[in-house]
Amino acid sequence: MKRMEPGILFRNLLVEIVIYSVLIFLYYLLVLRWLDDWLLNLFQTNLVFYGIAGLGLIFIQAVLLDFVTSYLMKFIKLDQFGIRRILDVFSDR
Amino acid sequence: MYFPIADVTINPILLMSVGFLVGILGGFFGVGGGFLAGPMMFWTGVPMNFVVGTDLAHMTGKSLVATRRHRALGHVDLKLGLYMVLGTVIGVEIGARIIEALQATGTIELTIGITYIVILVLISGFTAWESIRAIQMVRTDQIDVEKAVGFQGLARRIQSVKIPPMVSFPVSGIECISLWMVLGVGLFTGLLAGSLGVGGGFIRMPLLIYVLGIPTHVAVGTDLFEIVFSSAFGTITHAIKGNVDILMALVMQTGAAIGAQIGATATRFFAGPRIRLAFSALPLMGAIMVIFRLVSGGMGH
Repeated sequence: MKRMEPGILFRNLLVEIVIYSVLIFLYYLLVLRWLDDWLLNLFQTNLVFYGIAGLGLIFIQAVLLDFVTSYLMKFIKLDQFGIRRILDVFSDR
Repeated sequence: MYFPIADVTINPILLMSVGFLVGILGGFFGVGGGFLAGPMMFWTGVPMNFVVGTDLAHMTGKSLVATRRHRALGHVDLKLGLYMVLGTVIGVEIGARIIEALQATGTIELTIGITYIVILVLISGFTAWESIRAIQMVRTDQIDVEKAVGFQGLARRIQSVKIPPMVSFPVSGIECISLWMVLGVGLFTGLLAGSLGVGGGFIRMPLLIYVLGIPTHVAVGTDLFEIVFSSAFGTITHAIKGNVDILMALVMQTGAAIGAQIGATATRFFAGPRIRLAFSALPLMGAIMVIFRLVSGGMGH
């Protein structure tokens, strides 16, 4: 793989971070703000169910975020010019 | 952003950044990063009881992401991980009881603090020494960088112990090892993790490599696999005690997901000894944080 200038690579990393930031901002607006009341109600009424539901939410979010990140890497071709190329520049093999 | 469960207002970008940094560490080194994330969360204004529980909750999700990534790369030995979970769970329980006993005597902060510092400094010094030796071996002896471990004597001796039942771990390249050795490592790391109140990855990772002889990349992935179980158990326990703010953990986890992805990918580009050399700085940072907290008023305050 042809190596790129570190300056260009860091610029591409910034592009990735901007994309992630927009996605996460939308996620806050569309999902997290609506969970406030429901989680608080669970916390005050049933701690066991709160723990189980919380763990479930953590697992679901982890899998979904992993899917979205992988999708960005593979299908929008970010993996060809973003962080992986930066790592390639500084790698030792 | 207001977090009603912990009753605090914290900038979510700060929490995300903590998650991001710890996510990179987790993905790259195979550690949960609790010994670094905790002080960072405390610094952002999270109450101490919520620091402990919420850190475990976010660690669960982050470790799941990193484990999936490492599994896709073939870096997780599921069989080894499941055997070790048995020993770890028992160890965590014993560790928790030691904590109760120390709490009763009123010496918990100093005892745990000093134990923490000694273990972290020893791990840091030993890992740095070994990885530098391994890097020199690669240069002078021209050996395969994947197999370069500067300290192999103990692993060979452990693998030569023939106490039945004997098991094999093909993914880790171990043909025959006593199950008791695997359970023993799980028990020991669980004991330390339970008594120090952390995930234990920074102890488990070096033990997997130097005591059991697991290749570095597989040790990283398998350690993360174990952290998923231990932190999930810890999350439920702490949630029942009212110490978990799930909303906060979800925010932290958005940053951690990206960090874990970058960290796991990075292991493909760096050789085993260099991963271990970089890892050696982490326990030292943890030790410095503990010293700072002991000097400035004691742990947990």
